[in-house]
Amino acid sequence: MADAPSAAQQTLDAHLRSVRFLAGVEQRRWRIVRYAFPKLEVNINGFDPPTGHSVTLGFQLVCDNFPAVGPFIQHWDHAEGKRPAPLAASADSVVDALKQWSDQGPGTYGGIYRPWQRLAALHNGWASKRPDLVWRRDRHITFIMERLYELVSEHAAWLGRVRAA
Amino acid sequence: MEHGNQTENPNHIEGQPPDSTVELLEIEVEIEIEDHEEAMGFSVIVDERFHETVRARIGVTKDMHLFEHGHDKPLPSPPHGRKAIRLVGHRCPVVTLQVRYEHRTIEHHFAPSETVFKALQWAVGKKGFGLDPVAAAKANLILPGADAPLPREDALGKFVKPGHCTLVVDLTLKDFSNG
Repeated sequence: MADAPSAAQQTLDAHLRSVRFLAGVEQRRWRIVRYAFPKLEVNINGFDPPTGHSVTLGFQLVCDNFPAVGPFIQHWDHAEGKRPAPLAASADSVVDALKQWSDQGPGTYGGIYRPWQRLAALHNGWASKRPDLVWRRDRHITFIMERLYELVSEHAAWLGRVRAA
Repeated sequence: MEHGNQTENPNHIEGQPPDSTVELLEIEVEIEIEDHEEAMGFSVIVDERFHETVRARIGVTKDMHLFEHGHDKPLPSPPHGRKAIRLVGHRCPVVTLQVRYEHRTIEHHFAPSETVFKALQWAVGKKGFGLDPVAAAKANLILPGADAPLPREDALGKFVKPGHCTLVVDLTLKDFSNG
């Protein structure tokens, strides 16, 4: 007999079935590409209204111990099944978020460099500086999806400005 | 085959033969109402009485305008094929957003359902303060005197004071980005 899903999986499953998550899917702001708990792989479609530019980036979220611990999140190439090279041509803030960094030792990667990402939250006391952006167990998975949407939309804005210049 | 214990067809239209049905589509709704702390959730049949039904479920009158979260116009009815929708109920059909930065104030009209993020995109863009990309990336909107920026995914209507349809915010470049 198959093991019953863990409490962490049941919670994430419920979030993925929620109105606020499904509404984002139906608005084509995000889409699940692959889900095998604890790994959730998504595409995010960012949009910049002033330039009308849109762009899609892939991400992988590792959601073990959800929601007590926030997801580990990295930029993800779904076809290759790995993290692509850091994005160099984008807004400074996007380049900074997707840079190679770690405080876990050589050869490791710390994930997206933003306070809402599991490992970055621990870096330089970021979580205490930005409580409004840090993961809490009472948050919903769409909190992360919205942050990713903002990040990809910043990239869309940069691309729109570059192409208009 | 047993015929005596059929369950009632939920799609049956009263006044028509038992086998005469039309497809009644149901949609899951989550609605934020301007002065309520918690969003409400329920399912509704999508028909010509959609607004009336939603207003009845949340206990408000026609003065409450219904919008889809993030959108800029009142919702006539849910787009075809939708199974889930986030709504914003607000008595203001339009919110006048005044953004202060340095010695200038600019204003723009938004639907109360439009997000802080959308307002920020406007404020930093060419039609707003026209910030350069480096400054734009640092920008946030913040209520005057507040410690933390407005959550970007929230609807603007959430921050409008009762009795007003104007929202005043400051644009700040305070560096919130590095750990």
